[in-house]
Amino acid sequence: MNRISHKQAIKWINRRLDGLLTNQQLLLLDEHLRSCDSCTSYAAEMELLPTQLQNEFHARWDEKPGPSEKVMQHVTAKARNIPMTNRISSGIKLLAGAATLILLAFAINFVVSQLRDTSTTAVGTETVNILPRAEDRLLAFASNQNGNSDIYTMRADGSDLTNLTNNPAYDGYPFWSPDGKQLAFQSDRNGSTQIYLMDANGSNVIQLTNDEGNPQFDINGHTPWSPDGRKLIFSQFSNGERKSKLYSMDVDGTSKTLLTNELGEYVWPSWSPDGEHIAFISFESQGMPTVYHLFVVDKKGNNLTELTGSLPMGRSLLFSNYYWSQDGRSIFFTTDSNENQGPASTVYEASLDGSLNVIARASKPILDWWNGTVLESETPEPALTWLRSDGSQSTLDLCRSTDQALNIAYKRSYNGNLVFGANCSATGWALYWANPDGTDISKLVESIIPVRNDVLFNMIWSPDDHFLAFVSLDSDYPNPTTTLYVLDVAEARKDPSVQPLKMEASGPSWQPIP
Amino acid sequence: MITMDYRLIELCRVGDSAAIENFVQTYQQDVYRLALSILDDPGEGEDATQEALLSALRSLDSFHGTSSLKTWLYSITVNICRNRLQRHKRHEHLTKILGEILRVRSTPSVEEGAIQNESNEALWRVIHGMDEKHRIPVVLRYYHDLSVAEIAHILQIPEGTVHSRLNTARRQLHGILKEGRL
Repeated sequence: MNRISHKQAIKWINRRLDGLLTNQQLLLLDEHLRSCDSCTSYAAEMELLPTQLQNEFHARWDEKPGPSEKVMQHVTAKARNIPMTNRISSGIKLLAGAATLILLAFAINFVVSQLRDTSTTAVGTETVNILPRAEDRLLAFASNQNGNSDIYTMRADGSDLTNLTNNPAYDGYPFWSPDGKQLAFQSDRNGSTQIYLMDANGSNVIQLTNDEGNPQFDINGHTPWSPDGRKLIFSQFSNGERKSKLYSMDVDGTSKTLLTNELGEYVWPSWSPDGEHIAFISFESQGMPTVYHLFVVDKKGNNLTELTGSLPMGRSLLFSNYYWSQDGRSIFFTTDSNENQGPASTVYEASLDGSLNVIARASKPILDWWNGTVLESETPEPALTWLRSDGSQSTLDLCRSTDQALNIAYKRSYNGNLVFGANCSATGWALYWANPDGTDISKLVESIIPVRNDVLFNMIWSPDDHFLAFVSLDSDYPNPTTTLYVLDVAEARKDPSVQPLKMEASGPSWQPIP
Repeated sequence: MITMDYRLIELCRVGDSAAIENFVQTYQQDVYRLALSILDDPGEGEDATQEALLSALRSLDSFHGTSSLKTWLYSITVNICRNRLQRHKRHEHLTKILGEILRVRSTPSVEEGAIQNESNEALWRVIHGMDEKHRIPVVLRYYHDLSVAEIAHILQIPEGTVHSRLNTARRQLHGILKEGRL
């Protein structure tokens, strides 16, 4: 009888190639291989590879002559001066060290004073440990690659792809817990869509809801997890309607709390960074254009307040995005105006009691605002302009002059860096990177996402600002398809030939802590 | 196999000519083979060898014997080669842009052509096409016969990451072999 599964056997065949199996594991693997033709055949193929590689490398390099005499001459000539150079450089280092200490004292003083100023954080930002190795972080996502939607994890470079759910039912929308140990997700494995929880390796699946109205996450790039990892927010729909109510619950499925008494078109809730409040958008889609309202409610479901309630007539939330301040006491959002008077777009800071402060104004629609820098967008002429608080500005034309920009998409990273894209009618999507105030802009990739993929969404930065995962929607086919891309932004900035990893999938979520 | 009398290291530190010559003589072959296998260019490999040996001699004070001298020297060499690859990539990019502007097409040298014919060109193309993150562990494992632990030490990454990168590279090669493209 086989004591290990095929999956385990394949994993161990690969580990055996690197000499990483214990004696006990080697015995179990041998036992499996004796009775499994497919694994034996895989092992034989994999074991052939090292020989092929060794032959190739030796054929290529062994016949090459060794280094010439010049190496010896050059190195010995220069190396004789090393002790003297080292002594001089030690002296310089000593002086430089003293100077650095003085500068450091000034720098720390400056940083501390900057931190005291109000700053913003992207909505849904989790408290994370920044680790030196971005590749060790797992990306969870949903994919149909096995015939139905399952939840997978993989590393940012595409390695260690693992199907966590392996269930014939629908499983989707995975969200990592703040400690990176669990995933909340939705599934219809018991007949209707409900919310579930599982460990990072797919084990210990627990059903958290068993309610009417298909409880699910309607999150749009935020996280349903409270910052302390104890609660989840979700939507529950009125049967047959688009209207829903928002709830929170403890992660064991108890203490379900109603956040919105009335049914409404409530979407994209997010926790304040201190976990005390939840903001969400309500929209009226009957008229044109759609009007968005921003609400906030405390975590117990009390004190529901519309933050856009005291806006001047004719102004409404623009682009439906908003940012929590870092202390969770206010929210920044942008409005447009239907009136032909004054600036077209305004950034407000709303206190949680609904009082408003004007932060910035611009004559064109403000796409985004970050610590004093306004990002204006201009359509149909596809251009972005950064207006900085010191009065300087930079403009970037997104498509060639003959092109039309069919759509744009963007996402701030946790540190305020921006990746944005424009779908140009002639060339498809091009993606760019900009630092927080737009003084450093570079093109990352071009023409990898076709024009017909008309929307980019689920743009999620890895918590260390290294990778960006995003999804494109191809709605031209009878069955719309979603493609997940994972772009190594740090590498793409250095090397324009870097291409994103690509697969048919959606709903990416980065593990906060590996 | 690399061996080194630690007394010689002390002599190199104080600039003793005979000791430095001995150091270069002992290590230049291995360092050159490593540089050649990463850069795949004899001229570049030789320059990187000089740079690595000089860099090691300059920083012998920072070698405290916590890893083997070979591992330490290999780490320095790999870093120097990586920097050269980055510079080369940037240069290639500029050349490509200039080539497009000037419509100049480069042709492979006679030597390059001969080497390509001798070896399994298709397999090499796949290896060469890998990013350095995956290619360098493969070369260290299958040309320099280093263990996963040694590679982890040289690249300063965990053993699990080395295994993961080797695995990704092997899967890619296996997939192509299965498809009969090699």
